[in-house]
Amino acid sequence: MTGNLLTFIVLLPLIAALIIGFVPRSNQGQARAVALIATALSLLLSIFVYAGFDQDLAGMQYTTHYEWINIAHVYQDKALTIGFDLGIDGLSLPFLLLTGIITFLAVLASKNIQHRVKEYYLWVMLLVAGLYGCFVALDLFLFFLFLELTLIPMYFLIGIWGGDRKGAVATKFLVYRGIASAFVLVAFVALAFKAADATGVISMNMVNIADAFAKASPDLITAAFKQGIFLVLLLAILIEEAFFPFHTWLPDTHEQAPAAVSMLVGGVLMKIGAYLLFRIGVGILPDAVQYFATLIALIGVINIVYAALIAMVQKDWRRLLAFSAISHMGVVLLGVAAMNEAGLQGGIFMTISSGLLSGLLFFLIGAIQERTGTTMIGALGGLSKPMPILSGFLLAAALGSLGLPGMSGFISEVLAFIGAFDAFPVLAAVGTLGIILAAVYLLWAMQRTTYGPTTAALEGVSDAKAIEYLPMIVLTALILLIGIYPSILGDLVNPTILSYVTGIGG
Amino acid sequence: MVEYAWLVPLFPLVAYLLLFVLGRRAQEGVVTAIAVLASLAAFVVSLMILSEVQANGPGAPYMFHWLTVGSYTLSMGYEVTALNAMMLAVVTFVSTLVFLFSKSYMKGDERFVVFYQYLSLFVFSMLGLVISPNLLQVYIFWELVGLCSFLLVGFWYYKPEAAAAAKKAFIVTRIGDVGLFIGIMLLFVATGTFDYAGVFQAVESKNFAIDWISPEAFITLVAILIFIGAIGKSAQFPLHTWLPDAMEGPTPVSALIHAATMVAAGVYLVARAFPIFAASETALTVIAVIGGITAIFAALIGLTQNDIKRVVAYSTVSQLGYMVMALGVSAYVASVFHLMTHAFFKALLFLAAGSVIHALHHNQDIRSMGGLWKKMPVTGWTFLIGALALSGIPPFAGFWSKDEILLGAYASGNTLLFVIGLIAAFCTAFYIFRVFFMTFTGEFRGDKDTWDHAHESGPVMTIPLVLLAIMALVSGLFNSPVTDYALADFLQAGGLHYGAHPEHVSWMPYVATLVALAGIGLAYLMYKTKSINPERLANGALRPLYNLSYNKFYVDEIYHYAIVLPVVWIGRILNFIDKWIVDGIVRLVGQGTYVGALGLKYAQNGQVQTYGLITVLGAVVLLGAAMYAIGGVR
Repeated sequence: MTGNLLTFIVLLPLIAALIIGFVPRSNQGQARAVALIATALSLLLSIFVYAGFDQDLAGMQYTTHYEWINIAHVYQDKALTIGFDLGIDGLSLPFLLLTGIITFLAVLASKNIQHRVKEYYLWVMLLVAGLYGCFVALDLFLFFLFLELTLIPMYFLIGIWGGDRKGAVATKFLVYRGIASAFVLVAFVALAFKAADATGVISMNMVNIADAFAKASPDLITAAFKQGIFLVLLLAILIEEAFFPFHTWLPDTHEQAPAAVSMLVGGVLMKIGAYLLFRIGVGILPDAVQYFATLIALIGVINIVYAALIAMVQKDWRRLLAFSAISHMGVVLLGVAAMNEAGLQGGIFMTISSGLLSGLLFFLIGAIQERTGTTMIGALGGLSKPMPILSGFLLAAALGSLGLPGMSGFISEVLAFIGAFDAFPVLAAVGTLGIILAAVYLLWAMQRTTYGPTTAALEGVSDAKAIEYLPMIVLTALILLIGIYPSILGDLVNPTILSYVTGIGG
Repeated sequence: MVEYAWLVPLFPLVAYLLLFVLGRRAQEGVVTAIAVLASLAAFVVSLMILSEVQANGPGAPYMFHWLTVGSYTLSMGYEVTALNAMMLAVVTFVSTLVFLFSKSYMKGDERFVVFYQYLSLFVFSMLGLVISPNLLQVYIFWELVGLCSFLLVGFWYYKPEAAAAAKKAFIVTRIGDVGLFIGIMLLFVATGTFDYAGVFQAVESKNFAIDWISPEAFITLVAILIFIGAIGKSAQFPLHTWLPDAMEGPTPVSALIHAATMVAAGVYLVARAFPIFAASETALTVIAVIGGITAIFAALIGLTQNDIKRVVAYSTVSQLGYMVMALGVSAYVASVFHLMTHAFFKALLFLAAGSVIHALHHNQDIRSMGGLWKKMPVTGWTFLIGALALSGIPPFAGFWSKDEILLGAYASGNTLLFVIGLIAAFCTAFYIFRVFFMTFTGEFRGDKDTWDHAHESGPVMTIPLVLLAIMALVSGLFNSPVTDYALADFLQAGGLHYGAHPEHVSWMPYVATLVALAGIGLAYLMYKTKSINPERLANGALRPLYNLSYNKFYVDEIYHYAIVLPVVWIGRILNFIDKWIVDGIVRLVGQGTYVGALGLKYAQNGQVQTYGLITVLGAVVLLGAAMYAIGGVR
């Protein structure tokens, strides 16, 4: 059973999608129930995985292997093997848990979807399967399939349930991420074929590839080759992760997508790029990351400051949060570029923290939109009076996002900046501007929404409903937990990071 | 008891959690009881710790593991030193009284329990800051203290001024905080630790794991960065602008946070980390100069303000300037001493002002006050004691501590700083007695209805006033010939030997007292006997100077036009570029590469199949290129 836990986690949403396909269109409650049960079970299984995970080990655990595709003599007499390989280590486990939590809560938060309900949950389930799959796949080809599996459902989720510009934005999303996928595929194939030079077999298994790359002589796999592949990968990551100048799909997507879908995008989907950076970039091509470290740090700092300055003048909460997320993810690049223990750990912390905070913030903005009919900051005001609970959580989320100690954002920033100040003191110092600017735009937007006199139109709006407490409390609790007791996350990722950092030294 | 020092912050934390759970249904009496008792318990434990430290000296820090980062370990913990034992007692004492006072002041407020939640959380954070054994932990509580200040200044959230003041307080102090943040990050990178002990050791041996800067320059850099944090939190020039605005918060908050405790955190941090500063002559000079500028600058503004709380607020800024200046001239004990006495008499002045404001239905303009001595004798007397202490009239507390600071400035050989100190002392005495005379003497200038309703506050408010007045009277003696300079010896036991016993200059007490008396005398002539007409002065030859002072030297306006507006405009311009140029180009490139070949007709048909096909085609093309490249590399 334990061996197949990961398989079940990925399969459950797929099965749910299948069941939803057979649910009669008229019975909307059933579709929702199936989706809720599937995501809840997958979350439970993920927690099971966490409970049974040996935190002292650096390697893959819960590995599953099924032979899938074997073709002899594919290329220069080498055989190609693609396996249904799943597994998890201290790096991917936090992402798995993040996925479990956000997907379940996002389904929960989808209650206000009233239109074509059955289809909605069907696409969400496919998307969820793709998200889970990305973080547990050990085979690069499999990973790629899961990555593609996130694309099409997202296209429909924006295109059908989105706002007034849904068509154009759905297309934009598809084109951007489609291009990113193409780069990913290129990088993967190049990695596999090059590793085959060392091993004699074209394996798409990332552990084998990492092994081959670590052991191969510099003559066989040249530094120039690694750098080339990394650049292709970096391009994909910059698009997936919505970094300047490839970021413009994200504010549009958040603006147009329904709140629950925004939770999935900001909470999980966007983090796949960061995961790739850690898993493939740092894990397989550390020399290349090191080689481009200054460039990566520079891109990071540009994103931190640029996105923060733009966030400051946004009029729509959803666009503001999109730019805020971009600014925060800039810190991840800065940390990774440092290529030391603190920087890498900070990068992972920031990725997870940003996922939780995005999930919470988009949930809250969705709840406010549902009641007031708007997300325009200027149209809101004085919400503390009619909705003290929601306003309180919005305050907490804003504070977490601006890096208040005791919450997850702070420790992430501390770790990333320790790393960055070691490697790039000047760039890191410029990057701290983001800390000030985050306070400026988040406090402004939060106060504009909840402080001040309450306008007559907003007097009567209702506060949180019982069902809404769960997402708010769970996400806030996790943000606080990581902030107060960061070891809960740090002990998970530390062995993996240590193995990476020793890899850099050696 | 020292090993149980964690109990001190724990009490208010528990109170916070209890009040949080109780929520708004809780009765005001219950709420106050919980908060006051918790604070009182913390005070009692603090006193026990204080007496133990006095008997046995400070103990070693207690640390526990918090987070492993690769091969490093970050720890949290607590420690008791002579300095922070004193701080614990002062903070808990003042808090307990403010908590009690607030019961009456905040009576009937819809969010009464929330107010006490925030206050308790604040006291927890402040105490946590004080007992932190490392700089990261200090930073954590430093920010939490800032958060509580934000929440409490903006407590009346529906008032736009309160919201704006809260935001300003948070953001302006955060600018300073980032300096501190960079400072401690650099220290960690250079020394591998956040612990005071480890950092001090590295500073002493000048052994840093950093190669891009010389050890001496590094110490100066880090010291100044940490000091930037103190500039923000202790409202020093040029980041002082938030503190007067913070008076939008309820008055007990002003007394506790913006006078006695939080704003002292900056001074406390510099004092606690003093070995770093002592190792850099340059850093000390910067500190002394900033402190001196702040002391005189704020005192000059205080001369002309008409809001009773703002005058007291500017006096706080000015007095903090004194403390900072003292640290800059290595008069360590004098600074800490003034920190303590100031906490008492400033909390007293604020609470007395609060008592007045409460009696006058939240009117704060001294131009419409007057003659209140008859109505509120206890408030009047205690305010007078606070004013005398602030002015530095013997034997009140401020006299002793300010005298020490002036001595330190004089001994440093920097005559300018010393003269600045004297002038600021003159201004201080003048403006606080201007307030006193305008508020408590003469005829009432407000409307008759207010006058008829004005009455002395109840015991819940007057008892804290009286207790603080007693401290404002006697706390100066802790470091005077009467006790044989007990405080200096006590602080020295911690191993810090900076300026413990400055050489006493025989004429200093007389000069300082005369200067203060002159200030009071001038205020008397202008606002009591009216022999000198203040209006005529303000509208006559002194008009430009008056305007400068009244408009706070236009610092807020300068910031608005020189910093805020340009940043907003940069944001707007970038937003425009982002929308039309960045997005435009990427769109163009994307369409050109992938879609161009197939014709725009298909690109815009919105069919997902088309896009899937394009994606796959693109991938195939790229794959082909990559295969070719791999072949080439071989």
